[in-house]
Amino acid sequence: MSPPTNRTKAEVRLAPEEGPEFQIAPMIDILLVLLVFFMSISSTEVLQASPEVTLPAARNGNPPAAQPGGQVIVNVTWNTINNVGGIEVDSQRFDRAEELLPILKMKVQANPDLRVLIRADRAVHYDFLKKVIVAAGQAGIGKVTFSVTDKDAPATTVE
Amino acid sequence: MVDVVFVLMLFFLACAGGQIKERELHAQFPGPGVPSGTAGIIIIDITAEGQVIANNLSLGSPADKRIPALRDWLKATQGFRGNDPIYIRPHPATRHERIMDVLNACRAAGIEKITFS
Repeated sequence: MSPPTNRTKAEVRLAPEEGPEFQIAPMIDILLVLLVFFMSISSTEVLQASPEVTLPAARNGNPPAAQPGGQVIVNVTWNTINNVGGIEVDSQRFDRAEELLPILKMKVQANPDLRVLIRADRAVHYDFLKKVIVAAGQAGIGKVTFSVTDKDAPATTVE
Repeated sequence: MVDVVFVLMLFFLACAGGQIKERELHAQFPGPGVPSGTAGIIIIDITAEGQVIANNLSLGSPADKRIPALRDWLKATQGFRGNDPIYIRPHPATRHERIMDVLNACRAAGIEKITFS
């Protein structure tokens, strides 16, 4: 069968090629992965931070390392109006450092290689902080570390 | 849906970028008191106002956060050896921020063994 010969140029011309379609499905996948990633980062930071604690800045601190022995985070707050300190461990609040002792002892019994990470507000007085350190020592915890930030945060405490 | 996901991602991206990273400063706590009879021992006193006094030598000013005078003095004294422990003896009313400034200066000077008396 011979091809038709009476076709015009316009009829012979090939249909214009369609441009590449924008693939939405892979883009949504990537976006969701990025979203989950940034959400996980934000939630991790929020879980560890206490809004009442403004950490002091120290540029030469070590980056936080993984603790195979586990750690207990002790948030130490300070009320600058009446100069009274407070302690928060595992969402439990304490007014006196001595009240920490049974909890720390219980944690040490479960994990002898435990360390204490003290997240103290920049305004905390040393006499109050010393009681927390002494309580950790009495519980048999030798590793005590202070938490600081790499840059200055806006101060939230009132003086 | 794509728009919403975009907005959420931008929100969390901004949150992640503005977050302040936490760091750690280690110290040793051997017990009360300063061991006697140790030659060349360095004791850093911090007054309630934040004045740093190293071995009875007043260094810097309470408003100076980096305390370069203390850093230089420690480098000259310890020579980056970091073998001898340094005892920090804050006043009971010293703010935690000032103690961390001193710890930070010690770390910057290469001092590894820092303890409290």
